[in-house]
Amino acid sequence: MKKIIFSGLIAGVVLLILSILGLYLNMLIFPDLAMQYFQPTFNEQSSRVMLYFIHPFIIAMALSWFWNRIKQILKGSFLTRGIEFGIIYALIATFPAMWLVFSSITVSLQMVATWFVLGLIQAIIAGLVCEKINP
Amino acid sequence: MKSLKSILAIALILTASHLFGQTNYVLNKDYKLTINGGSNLHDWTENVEKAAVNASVTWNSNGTFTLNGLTVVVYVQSIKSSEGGVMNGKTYKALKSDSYPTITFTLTAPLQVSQGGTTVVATGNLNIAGVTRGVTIHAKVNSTANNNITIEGAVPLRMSEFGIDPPNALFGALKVSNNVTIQFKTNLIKS
Repeated sequence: MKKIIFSGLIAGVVLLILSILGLYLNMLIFPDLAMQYFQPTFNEQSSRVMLYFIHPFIIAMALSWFWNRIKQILKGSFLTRGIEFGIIYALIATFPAMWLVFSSITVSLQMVATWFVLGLIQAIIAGLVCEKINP
Repeated sequence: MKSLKSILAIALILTASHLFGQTNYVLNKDYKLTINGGSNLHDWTENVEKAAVNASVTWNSNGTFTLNGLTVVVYVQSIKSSEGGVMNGKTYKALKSDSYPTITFTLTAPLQVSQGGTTVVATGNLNIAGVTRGVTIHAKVNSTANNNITIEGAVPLRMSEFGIDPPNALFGALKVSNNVTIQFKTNLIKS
């Protein structure tokens, strides 16, 4: 249990840094996409903005628990296991969630695609961190 | 009796205006009024599509004139962004257009304009989003054919001075600059 919490916390810190970097990378790589975040759908000036910066810890804790449950069935090198873990999570959780989001909210496909890629990268990195701490 | 008084009052105003040589001017359609700003992504421009001006001018025999009064009204929901509808919504929200649908400027001191035009320093009150601040504007004022008047200049402002929070997005990573410049090029014609 201690290992799950510890690896979840460490992965949370790493994902938080990644999430903040991701915001600026988004602006650099996709400036037109960044402008879409001015839509009223995104209530940027509300107190709920802070929840975004807590989400890396929520997802990291969940992934740490998930890693602990399935680590035995993942085979291969350090990198292979981490990537496979990320893909499994992205296909099971992120992809269906993004499908629902795209079907119900007025956001562009490009925007939803970046969220999917972010979810995939988050899961791979969390997988690698968990693998390092809780092999 | 009331209507007779009203007619007399209007007649008196018109006569007085005529006696003192005041001419009223309004905004011609060929004006250009833009709001220029920046962000940490790129610069942006917004165009004002609906504005109104009322000015009173006293012409002197030597071709010089005095701008006695000037009121500019900008209709907030006619402001259109170069970034499209997404930014328009943010602009209207930032300018609190539901409560304050117009931006107004009122000249507070008469301006003397020499023949052939001159650069003037105009002082007035600017009301944005319900907050009024005194502003100083450097503008080029000129008279053209048919005694039309052109006024051209720019006003640098800080949104925060008017209680406006510059819009942001991407959880604060994308920030609109607090500094904006209102640029104007107007042609006033006799009403």
